[in-house]
Amino acid sequence: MGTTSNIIYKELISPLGFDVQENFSAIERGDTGLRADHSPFLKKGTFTATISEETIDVRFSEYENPRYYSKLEKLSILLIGKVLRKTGIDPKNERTLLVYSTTKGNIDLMDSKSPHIPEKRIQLVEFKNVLQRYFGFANAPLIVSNACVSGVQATILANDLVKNDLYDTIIVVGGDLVSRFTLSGFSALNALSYTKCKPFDEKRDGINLGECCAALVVSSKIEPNQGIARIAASSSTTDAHHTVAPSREGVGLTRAIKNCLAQRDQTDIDFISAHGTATRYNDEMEALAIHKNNLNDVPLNSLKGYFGHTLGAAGILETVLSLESLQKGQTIASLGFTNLGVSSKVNVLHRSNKKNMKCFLKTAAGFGGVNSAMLIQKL
Amino acid sequence: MRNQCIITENSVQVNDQTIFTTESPEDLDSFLLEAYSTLKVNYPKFHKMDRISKLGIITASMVFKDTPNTSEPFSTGIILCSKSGCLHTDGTYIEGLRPENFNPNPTLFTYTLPSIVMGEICIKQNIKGENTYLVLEKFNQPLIDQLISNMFFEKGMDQCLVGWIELESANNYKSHFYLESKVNYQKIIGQKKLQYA
Repeated sequence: MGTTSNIIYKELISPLGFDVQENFSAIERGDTGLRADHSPFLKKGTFTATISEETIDVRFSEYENPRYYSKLEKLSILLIGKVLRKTGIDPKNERTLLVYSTTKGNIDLMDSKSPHIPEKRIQLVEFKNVLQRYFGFANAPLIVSNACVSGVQATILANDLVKNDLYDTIIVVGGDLVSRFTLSGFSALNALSYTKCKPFDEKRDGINLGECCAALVVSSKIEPNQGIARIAASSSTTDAHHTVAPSREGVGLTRAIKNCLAQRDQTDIDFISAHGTATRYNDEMEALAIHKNNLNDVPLNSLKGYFGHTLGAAGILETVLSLESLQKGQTIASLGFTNLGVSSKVNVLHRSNKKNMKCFLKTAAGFGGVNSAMLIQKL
Repeated sequence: MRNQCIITENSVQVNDQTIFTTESPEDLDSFLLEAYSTLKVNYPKFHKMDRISKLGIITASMVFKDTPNTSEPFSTGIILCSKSGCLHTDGTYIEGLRPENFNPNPTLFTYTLPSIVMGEICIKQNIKGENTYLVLEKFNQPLIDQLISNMFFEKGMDQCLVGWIELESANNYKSHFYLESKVNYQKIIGQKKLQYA
């Protein structure tokens, strides 16, 4: 490949805070963004992690009139604006690209009656155009939409494009909202937990939905002390088994992790940032894939207990916070976990502790039978 | 010669030959069903899928019609792109969310991810390798070529199914898939290098 690519910046807006530091501090305290959600259309209540639109509007008003933008557009503009200010990246540069990862984009506009936001903005291409116009990006943003592996795959794609010298700098953003659309669907599939989700726990009974907007910057242009980490290995596979249920044998994810391990040098993996949605099947399959790769002793966490499942944003959110964990030398406990409830033994992190760390494995799996894994190494 | 299939305006073309068409186009559903049975696609789940997945399954099956996929499943990749994604199916699902008639359909919901058609194709054709789904304004050949090149030369794929799948409405749809092999791609790249030399 042409050149080296490094992760040089990360940013995050979630129910737990408007920057990485606020989020990490909240996690250290054991806070969760999950709150009881009794939306009347749900058969039973559930828990969701949402960001108050009033809070977003207060911040957004400093830049622009909130009335003309959807919730996800406002979150994305606040986040990307901050990334640009902090890094000095020029969106008008032809060697700069925005890659956006989302499953449903502006789907909440289906319930919107705002005369100020045209209906067509529910289309992902229109959503992308809003961001391009607002910041004046020279290139049309690329939208990755591959179910719940979108975030990890968008990060890998950006890294590959930079390594192949097609762009100098790529801002990778992941964003998805909690909406009536997604809540009703997961409820109809009986996939929602009525309590706070419990990844890898014996009492886990389903997912919680969450929303956030997270960003990573990958670049070949690096100033002294600017680099955080690099993507040392990556792989995506499919199970070719079922569009909703993962392969019982964890065929695809086992292979994706194996491919990553084959590409790495001798660096030890310090922890695994798992997908861990807290459904019976996902966590069982994921534990099996980890076990088959002899990584069962490696400390592991799922962040779904803090943020719920943020769909297309999840892979980026979890990478951002895992990077902060690496940099700080502080592991993150897997919130909601008490007793192991998967057949293959894995080492779920009960509590946070100080540790000198260099490398983590990020895994993800999604509808369509898709799987992704990447190894991230501190510089 | 690489295998390709285009389906649009009630006609199925394989390698520039029209192999199926309906003279009096009725509706998209009967066209898809007729094409499915006439072309002997054989995917039992076909009847439960949304229109986009039906279109994708038929298109992919025609690409592999004369040369079944015998490659190592983990060495076959797939890249799909679309402008509207699953918006058409979203609309059908949303009809079941009206407060006066609230009855969300769980099966339909699973098709409200743009990439589900890719999952269905992978099952049907036993494709297990690298996979990418992008939402683009239009099929962007230079970008796709870069992604294909990345699949072959960085990700170790031997072949890659590439496709554009767009279903804006029952009257406005187009799918165009082709199979690219690493061997063929290396030849093309070799020729390009010669031209530049």
